[in-house]
Amino acid sequence: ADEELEYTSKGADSCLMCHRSAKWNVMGIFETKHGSLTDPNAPFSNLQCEACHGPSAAHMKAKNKAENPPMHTFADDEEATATEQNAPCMSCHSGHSNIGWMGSAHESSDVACVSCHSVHDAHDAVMDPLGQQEVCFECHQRVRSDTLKAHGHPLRFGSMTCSSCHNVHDGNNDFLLTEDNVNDTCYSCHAEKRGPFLWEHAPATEDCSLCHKPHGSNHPASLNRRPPLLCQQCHSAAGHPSLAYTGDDIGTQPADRFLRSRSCMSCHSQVHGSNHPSGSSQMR
Amino acid sequence: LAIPAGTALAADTTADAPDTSNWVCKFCVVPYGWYGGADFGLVYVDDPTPKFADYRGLDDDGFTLDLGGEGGYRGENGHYVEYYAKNLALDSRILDAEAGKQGTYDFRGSYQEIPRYLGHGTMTPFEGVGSDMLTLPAGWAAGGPMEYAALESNRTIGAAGFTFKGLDKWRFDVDFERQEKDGTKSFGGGVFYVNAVLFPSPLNYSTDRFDASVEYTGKMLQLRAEYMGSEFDNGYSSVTWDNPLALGFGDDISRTALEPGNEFQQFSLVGAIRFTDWLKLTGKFSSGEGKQNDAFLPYSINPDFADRPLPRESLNGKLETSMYRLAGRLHVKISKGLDLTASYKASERDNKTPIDLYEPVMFEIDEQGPRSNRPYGYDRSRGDVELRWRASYQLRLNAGYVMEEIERSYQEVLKTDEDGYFGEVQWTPLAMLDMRLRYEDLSRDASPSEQQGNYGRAENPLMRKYNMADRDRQRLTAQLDVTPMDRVGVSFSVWSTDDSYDQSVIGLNDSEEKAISFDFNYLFDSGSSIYAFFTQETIEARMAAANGDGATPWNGFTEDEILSWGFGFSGQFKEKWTWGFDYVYSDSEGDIQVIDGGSGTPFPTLTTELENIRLYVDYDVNDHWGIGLELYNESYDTSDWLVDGVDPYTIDGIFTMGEESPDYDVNVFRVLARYRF
Repeated sequence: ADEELEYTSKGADSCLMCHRSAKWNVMGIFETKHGSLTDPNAPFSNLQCEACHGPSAAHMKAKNKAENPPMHTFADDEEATATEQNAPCMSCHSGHSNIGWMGSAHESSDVACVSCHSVHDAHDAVMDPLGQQEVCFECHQRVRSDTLKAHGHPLRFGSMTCSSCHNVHDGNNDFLLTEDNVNDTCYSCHAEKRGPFLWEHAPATEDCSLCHKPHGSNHPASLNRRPPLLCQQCHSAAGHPSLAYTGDDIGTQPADRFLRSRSCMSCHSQVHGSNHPSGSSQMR
Repeated sequence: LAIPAGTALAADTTADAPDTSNWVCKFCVVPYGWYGGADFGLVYVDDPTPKFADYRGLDDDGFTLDLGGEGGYRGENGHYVEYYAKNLALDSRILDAEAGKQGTYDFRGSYQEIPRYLGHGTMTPFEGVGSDMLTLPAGWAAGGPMEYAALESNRTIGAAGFTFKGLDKWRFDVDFERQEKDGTKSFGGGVFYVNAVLFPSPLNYSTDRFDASVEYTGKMLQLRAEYMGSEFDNGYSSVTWDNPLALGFGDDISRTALEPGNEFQQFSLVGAIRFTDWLKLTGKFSSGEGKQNDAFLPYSINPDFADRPLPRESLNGKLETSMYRLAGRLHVKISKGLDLTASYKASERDNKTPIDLYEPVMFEIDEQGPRSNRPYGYDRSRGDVELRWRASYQLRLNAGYVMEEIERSYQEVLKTDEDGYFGEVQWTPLAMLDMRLRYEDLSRDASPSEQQGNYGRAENPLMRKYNMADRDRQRLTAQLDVTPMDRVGVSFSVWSTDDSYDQSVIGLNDSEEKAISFDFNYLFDSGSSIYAFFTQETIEARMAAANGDGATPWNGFTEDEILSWGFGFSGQFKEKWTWGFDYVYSDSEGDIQVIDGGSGTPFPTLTTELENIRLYVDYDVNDHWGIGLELYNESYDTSDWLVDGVDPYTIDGIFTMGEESPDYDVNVFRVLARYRF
């Protein structure tokens, strides 16, 4: 065979002769599932380093190793495309949660597996409840700011992770979510809002994010903005729903009842739907 | 080490299978046995408040046990155990465990609690808090005594699962999860007329979920069939409460329905096929069914309406859902590669709930005319085509077309069509410099609007609800990544989304979101690192409304400005010491102004300021024992005109719980002993 496509004579021992030093930071892989010597599907039970890096005899023999890298190298600044870099990974990981990878937002944006995963590290940060979000924030910086807002999901405390709602490998679901769409994902934890209810609130049945910002908001219940203006964007019936309330109305009656405390939701508390036969106005 | 010939994973299959008889792998040092360990110690909290304790579970002033740990066992035969435990002595405890034989099977289980503490200064006169029967003390009258009412809840999540991968190319998964949520939350009930009572409503939710799937993973074809079943049950179907604002005409007691139980099950088929290296397809099909059939409450708890007949005893609500998506890619080798991808997704929420005429009794005393329920349904389809050309290593160009169509039932607008184009340029002039710019331009058209009204209250005919109004959207994303050396990363980002609803005379007119961000990190030779981040965001909106058809419109403006930044350091010295600090600051301001021809006096600015400073030190005493110290301070200051200064009687006609906006300044000290196997 062509020397460039020739495997090393001693497998990992050829590679680790140099790369086992701390400088290369690769020995942590033996504390991971990739490093298993018993799992028949693990790289180190097969062609070891070359299972992922490809035939590397030429690299091993080269005097200038930097100019003669292994067949597959992995990094954001590599000339190989993300698809090319991902191919070795996908040769094993094309199933399970990755079936919908092709055509997903991350795949279309040239995100490589190694952009998020550190397979040589004993503890891949993206698999850690708090470490994961820091990996995601490297690109999704605005979401980090969202998580620091007054109201939102508990990512900051490690009670949830990005992957609680997102399957970042699957483009079949909207927004790389774990379920088909936004509402079904929310119902995973908020099943009480699934209904169907006798008196439904139309936007709640269409898309939770019409009223809520799931990554965080300055407004209670992670609302997009404060009531009454939030509600008045859609409710315009003459009378109290469409009156203009200004800063001068704070503390004045009867305007105050529509403005303060829970504003519209002091009365209309069943905004996700009511099953009370007298609940057509979402008050019961 | 026995390596079957021809079992190359990612390796180029054109290479000859290697002779592995000499592959000893003497440097492959797999650390068998137990690893990891356990942490135990104390955490001291100085004067916590509900908002500080929210999610953290640190609600006790003084010392609390702190238990946790992470580790596992790795056997030479492939058997393994993994565990992760955190906050075991707190209400925010997490315990995850997994055991099995790698590549063959695994069992997993987890338990988690998520505490909520929401009541800052909340009070109520009601007795029976936590139950579905809230009563006022005998002889209680407006102005009477009240007691602090904590608004707390606890969500517990228990899960167990099993995976079998022992058959070549096949995988079987079974998972069960039970979530329970108990406690109280603040809830409002409308009483006669545009008056309301806020009370602590009981929470007693439980949700069971079952998932099972079978999967085939071949070289060309991957296929998974999965089933999901969910059942939600509410321990309380309603809450009954004495009305402190009763007029005495039969509204002394009121009853509010709580969320009914529901069932949902779904079958899905997910697959991908690679015909050749240049043609791939992936897709998903789902079909689901939801039901809700809890018994109705009577129209009113008022005995005067006891014989008012309901059209049915329960809703017999039924949803049929479906979704299918197909995506494909055609790859053509032009320069570094030309890819054409296309996807189409269709989904439906077919609401089969029967429609009947109901005659509500508002506020337990006010008879209303007949009205029918509206079982909302949706048909959605979405498609996109994208051309991606990697002209060279330095230059990548993407362009595409997207469309979305939504059909709605029983709503003002029965159909909206949105489509538009996007383009993206990624330019990498140097290995250290990467620039990405993406622009989208979308336009949505709505079919003619026909107001449905809210049961006797006609909406303004000029109202266009923003989710189904004509809309023009421009979205810009830009990112610049600079990596002057391996150890340094700098990133600048800009986002902008501008939505314009030009055809909406009444309703949302414009909304705009802008953000800029900066990230920096540096890794020292020693392994120490520093980082910093900064994000500034502005969210603005303008809407118009009018008090009745033909009235002069007024305008409402909202603007949220958020600034967050932070920095930190972590490092080691003298091998045994690890230390670091983090600083996080977030500040937000929300301004609201309504201009109606009068003064247009703006509302007071809503403010929130969060500051967190954390310092930590770890010392390895020996190979097994270590000590960890952590000190942090978090201060939180909010100003919210909706609740500040509002006691239960402040607002005429609204009997509140006297909620206050939270402020705190809390110190936490944690000392841990770490044992490592």
